[in-house]
Amino acid sequence: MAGFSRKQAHATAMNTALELSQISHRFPGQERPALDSVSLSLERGVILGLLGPNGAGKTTLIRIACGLLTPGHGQVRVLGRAPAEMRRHIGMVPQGLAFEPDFTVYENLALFARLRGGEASRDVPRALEQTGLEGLAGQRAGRLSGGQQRRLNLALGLLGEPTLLILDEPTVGIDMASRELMLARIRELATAGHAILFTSHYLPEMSALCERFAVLEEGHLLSDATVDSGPVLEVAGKGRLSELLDELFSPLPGARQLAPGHWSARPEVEALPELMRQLASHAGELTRFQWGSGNIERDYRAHLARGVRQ
Amino acid sequence: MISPAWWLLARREAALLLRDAHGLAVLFLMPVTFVLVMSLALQPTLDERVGIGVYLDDQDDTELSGRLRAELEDLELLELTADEAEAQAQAILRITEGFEDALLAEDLERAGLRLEVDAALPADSRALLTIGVQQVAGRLVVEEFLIPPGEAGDWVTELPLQTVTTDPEGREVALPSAVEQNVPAWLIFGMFFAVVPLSGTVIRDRDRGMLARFRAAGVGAWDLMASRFATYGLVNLAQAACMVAVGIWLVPALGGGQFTVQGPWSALLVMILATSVAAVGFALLVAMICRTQLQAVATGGAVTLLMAAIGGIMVPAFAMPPVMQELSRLSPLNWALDGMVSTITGTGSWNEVAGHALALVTIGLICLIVAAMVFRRQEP
Repeated sequence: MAGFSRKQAHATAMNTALELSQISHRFPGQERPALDSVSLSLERGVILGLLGPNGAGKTTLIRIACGLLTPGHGQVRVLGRAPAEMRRHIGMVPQGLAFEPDFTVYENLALFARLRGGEASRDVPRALEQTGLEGLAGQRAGRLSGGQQRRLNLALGLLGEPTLLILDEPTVGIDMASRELMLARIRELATAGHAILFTSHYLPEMSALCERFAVLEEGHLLSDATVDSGPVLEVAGKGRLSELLDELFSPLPGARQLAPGHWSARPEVEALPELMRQLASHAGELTRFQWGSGNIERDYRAHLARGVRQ
Repeated sequence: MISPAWWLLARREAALLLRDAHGLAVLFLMPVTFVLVMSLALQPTLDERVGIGVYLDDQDDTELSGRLRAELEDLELLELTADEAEAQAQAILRITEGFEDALLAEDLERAGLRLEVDAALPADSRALLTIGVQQVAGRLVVEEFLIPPGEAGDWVTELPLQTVTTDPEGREVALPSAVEQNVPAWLIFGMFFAVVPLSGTVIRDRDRGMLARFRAAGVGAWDLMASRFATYGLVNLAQAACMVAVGIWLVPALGGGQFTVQGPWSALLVMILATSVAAVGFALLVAMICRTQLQAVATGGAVTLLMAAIGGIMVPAFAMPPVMQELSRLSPLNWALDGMVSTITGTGSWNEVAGHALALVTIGLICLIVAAMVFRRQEP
């Protein structure tokens, strides 16, 4: 039985690509912590969107997740172990174009493949294929188009087939076609079992890509929510209905109060008839009723407006 | 502490440098140009004097004027030329007609010697020339008219005078020739100027996110430090080979002196390696403490120039006033230059070389350790 538990624990750890527990970090000389008691987990096969305004702590969280920064408090686990021990399983795509413009595409990829302990002859062709850069291996990186350079940036993060892929605004400043290609590749990677932490300021892109999103503001995690896992019911009402909505929605799965008298939730199908009956009895006070799939943009704005901490 | 990644990074650093024309120009072309220009420009000041070019216009053309010419030819200070138009002539000594007759008649007022000196001739050279001519002419008069025949040898025997050059401590030193001074001087300057391309790479890596990518790939601070030390150490050796070749072949071909090493080549190699440690350590420290490339180029360039000026790279320390000579000892470039010049001129001992080399390695390692500490504290 004990052996089974250990196996089970190991399997869970291997399925959880990234686990942040109560992470806090304050930079020297700063009054406010960059991160304050942030807990987050990311499983294999999931794309988690990390949202937040500039200065919210996203980059600090990414650095900690990559093992580039040791948090002042809390624990980081990548596949159940410290990030420093799991570097080969972490792929990072920084916001900047982190490659040598005077090197060819192949030279750039070969350098990092070898630095990660891999073999250039095996890893480089795969990364080129994954990012659609096969025909550009001999081209100087500095002479690639903006979209191609972004794809090279991504390819460098894919070397060695990392389980955890951390993408910091990987699509900044590229055209629609390259963006679509990159997003398609990222979806394929998630389908293949990679865990992906993705940041972007472009909300429609987030909405289209991520199953889950987390919102950071001033170092606090406002939300770690799942979208698109089922239809969302959004209802707003006034008067007596406003109070009734608090009672009806707060126990529902995925319930969020977007504003006073304004709720969204993911009710089970079985709960819908009773819910509809209650709402119908106050139809005159109903100001909004929407039934559809989740929307990161809407939820993000609602979270920021409420500033609700986890 | 250092992983095999350092070798990959060193190859990358070398490849980057080989593709950086500006960096190569700073490291090689600039010091070569300085060696050529300064070796040729300082040749008249530092090299063994070839004598002041004097055209002798013997209008008297007598036995006595002939003897005067012969005595003047023996004077090392002068370089008598046969042709007045020769460019080398910086002065004309005219022996006027009737010179011998006037001396024989003991009419010294009429025994005319006229020295016409080029206005461009420095005052000290002018004074030396005047004294030299007067000494020779005076001895001729003494020998000819005042000493009884057969006793000349006893009357004009010169006192033995040994002339040596010494450093401020009174130790005998050999002054380097222009090429012996400038080859090591500008080599050292070029080695320290590695701060420009090296800091550029370090700061670009930081700004572009390469550093974060390296760290994420498990590359440690010491791997990066070691890769840069190895690459720029080799660059410094290549610079040394280049400067020595210029001194041996190019400077003489352009009319300058020949570069030779009187002391052991191994001592010179030790000095070059020690200087390299100091130069790369300094460059890494500047790269780590500066936030932008502009800051690094300005700070690194200015500090190198200042240390070079103080350290006797531009003006040899021995030509400086005593206070400046004392100040020059604060500059690591002066330690390097002292050690190299004493080896090149063959006046330095192994102890002296070891002392200079140890000081350079120590300062280089201190810079390296501080740079590594700053690097480890920096966020990629």
